[in-house]
Amino acid sequence: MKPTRELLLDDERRMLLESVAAFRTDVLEDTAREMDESPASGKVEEAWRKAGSLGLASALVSEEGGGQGMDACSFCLVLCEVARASAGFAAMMLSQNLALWALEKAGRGEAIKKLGRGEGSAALARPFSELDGGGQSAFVPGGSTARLVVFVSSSGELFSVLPEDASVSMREISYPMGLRAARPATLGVKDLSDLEASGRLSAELSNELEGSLLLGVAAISLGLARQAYDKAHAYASERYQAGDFIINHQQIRLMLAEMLVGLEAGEAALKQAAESSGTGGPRLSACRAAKVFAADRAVAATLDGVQIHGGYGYMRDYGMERLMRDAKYCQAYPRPPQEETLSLLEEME
Amino acid sequence: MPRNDPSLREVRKRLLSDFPMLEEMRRRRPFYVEKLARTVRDCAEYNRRYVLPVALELDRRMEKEHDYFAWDLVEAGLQYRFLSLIIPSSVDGVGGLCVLFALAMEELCSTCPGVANIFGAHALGVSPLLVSGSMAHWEKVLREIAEEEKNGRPVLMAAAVTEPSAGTDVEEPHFLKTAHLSMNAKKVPGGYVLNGRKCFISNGSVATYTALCCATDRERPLETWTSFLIHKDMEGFSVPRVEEKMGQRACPAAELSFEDCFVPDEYVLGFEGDGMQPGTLLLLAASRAPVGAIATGIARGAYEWFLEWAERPQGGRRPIAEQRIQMALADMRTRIQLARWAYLNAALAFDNSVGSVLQGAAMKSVKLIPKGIRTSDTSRRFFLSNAGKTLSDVLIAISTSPDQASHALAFASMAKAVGGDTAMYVSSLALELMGMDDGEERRWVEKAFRDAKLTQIYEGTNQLNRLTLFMADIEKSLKVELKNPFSLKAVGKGVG
Repeated sequence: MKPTRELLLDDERRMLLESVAAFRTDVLEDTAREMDESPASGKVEEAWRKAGSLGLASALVSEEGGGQGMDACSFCLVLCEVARASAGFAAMMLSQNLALWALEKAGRGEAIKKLGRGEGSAALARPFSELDGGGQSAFVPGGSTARLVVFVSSSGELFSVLPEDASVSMREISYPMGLRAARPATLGVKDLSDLEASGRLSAELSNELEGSLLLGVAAISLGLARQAYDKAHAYASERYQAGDFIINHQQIRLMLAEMLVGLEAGEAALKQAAESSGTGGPRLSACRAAKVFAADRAVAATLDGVQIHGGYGYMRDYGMERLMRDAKYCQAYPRPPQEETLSLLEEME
Repeated sequence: MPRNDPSLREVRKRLLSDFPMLEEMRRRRPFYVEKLARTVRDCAEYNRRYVLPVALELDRRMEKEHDYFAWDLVEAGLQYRFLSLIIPSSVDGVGGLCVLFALAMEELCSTCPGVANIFGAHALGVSPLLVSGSMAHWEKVLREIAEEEKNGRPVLMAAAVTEPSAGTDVEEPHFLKTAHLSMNAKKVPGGYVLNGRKCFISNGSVATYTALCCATDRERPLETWTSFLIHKDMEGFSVPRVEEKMGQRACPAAELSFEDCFVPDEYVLGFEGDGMQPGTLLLLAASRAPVGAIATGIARGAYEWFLEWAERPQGGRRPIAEQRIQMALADMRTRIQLARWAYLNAALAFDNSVGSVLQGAAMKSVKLIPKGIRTSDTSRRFFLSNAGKTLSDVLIAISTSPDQASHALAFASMAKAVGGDTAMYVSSLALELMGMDDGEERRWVEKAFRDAKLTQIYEGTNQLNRLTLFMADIEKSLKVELKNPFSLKAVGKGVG
């Protein structure tokens, strides 16, 4: 039986997914390991240009602005598909697309044409925590290689800064456990008053940005969980142990079934959140719930995926352990799940 | 994390408060408990002086150079006698058993389980010699390890059980019957010829000696499962591959290949066919509690780094001021303590049953025999003869019973599964709470998280360990079959 998600696709989305699936199998799957182990080897940039030629670097930019004008739900499907091969690459795509979206909304559409074609990349620095007149974003996917970094202050001012700007400090995270293809960086600004704002996002747009980031990470998480399930199911079907193929052992079946519960419920929550409407965009509370749920289930699914593979799951050749490392990063990015759930409660109150 | 060498007093105090049963034991065996405290102190000192400064860097280096081996760290451990912790004092070892070794592993693993597992895998290699080998093997191999250690030269061991298509199957007698095996040992005059492959063998690429189990007849694996001792220079033995792992990288996992590798009769440990019952089951009864301790150590390391993070002011306030962080710390502390008690109880169950033969009066009296006689050719021939091997079985059989040994196996399996789950729980929760903070603490906890996952997999997956517990303790369908030394059958099928 097909996953429910596939039954919900209309023709347009089905075609979109087919082209992204081809990109995944033709480009990403062969290089995913190298992008993880040696993200500076040039493979990420190569794939990035190809993604750009497919319109994936400007998916959320309006058609008038030269982008694809993709809706939130379709973009999530794309991220989910890409994350199956490389969650790091998907995180970089998410970061770029949201940065360009924010720039366009702030009236800076002219700055993004080249970036939208995959010629260089932009990154979104969010959450951005302000302290003593300055601020910091601890984990910016795509931050080390970005030509432009975008962040929004608590008052809604949007800044697009060049990494080489004297008032900005950009430090590549030297050895992240997950999402390594994205070459994440820590971005710091000593004094916000040294920077000139590029525009302003209304509270609604700022919320929409927040919600879209959460939805994106939820989609990447579900991509990881889907990949873990497929790989574990395939492995269990051919691994013979304790007198039978292990797929026939109830304990293994239960682990696989739990993965499906997470996938089905996670995808439903994601779809509902992406199509919900709050002020300006999807309801933030639905996005928070979908993200926390999807990422938690992705961690569980990938851990079980490794477990089902036994020793082979722990070895890098099999690609299972990478899913586990990436999922763990999706769980705490952009914010730790407990903080997300406490925000959810506050909003509902 | 400790910034100074811990004093013996501090370590003793910590041990006695974490393990109230040791306080009780101290009244009866003060020197023994003191020996435990000294060993743990040594481990803590070794960690602080040699491992803490390099562990993160070594882990990163070995992602790129996965076949690098940190001999310098092994050599630094020789002064503490980490290679002979469980080698009997009759052959110049430290003479510790499961309890001592488990406590040492927890301590070592709280800093770097990769480095610690070099010593852990080594002990796993030594164990078959203790439970299945004869005095002749002790005098040759174990004495060599202990003496070379004193001379500053590491002689490492490994244990090889897993095969490419048989992981779970080679750790459980019922499953072994239907296992898809690739290794085979064929009897030839004067010894055996081995062919096939073993995989994921910790220390496999660096060990001088490897204790290995395989079938002599793949059609009847359970009846013919046999333990051998392999020397790295044996013709036909090679290491074609060292694995690239997610964690515990400092300890290499290697594939071992055997192509017409001749192993002389005197390198057989015990009798042919004793490899699973009781060989491997006794080995697992001895090794799973220390693996529980390895996992507990990883959990503790993650907890200690998380605590440091929680106490560090961030953005003007300390995370530990938040109730949810306090609850998480309390939960972690609880689980670590429960895992600790589980492995110590399991280790005690082993030491008081099977292990007691190694510290019993009979073994101690061996020391009264002059070394010249014990190492003489005549003694060697006797201990390798059927009568000599039977003597080892007699000693085990009079020290313990199948019930006690099975109970030790069940408890050890429990401790292993609890430990592995605890290590994953604590490291995972810590990462979840720390968020994307890029501080040093997070680096260590991330490493712990990667390292921890292996503890749910090796030494039997946690699923298998639960199954062993069910079969040995609840269903009573699995029992360690100690050899009846007075059975003619046992003597009749011997070799040598």
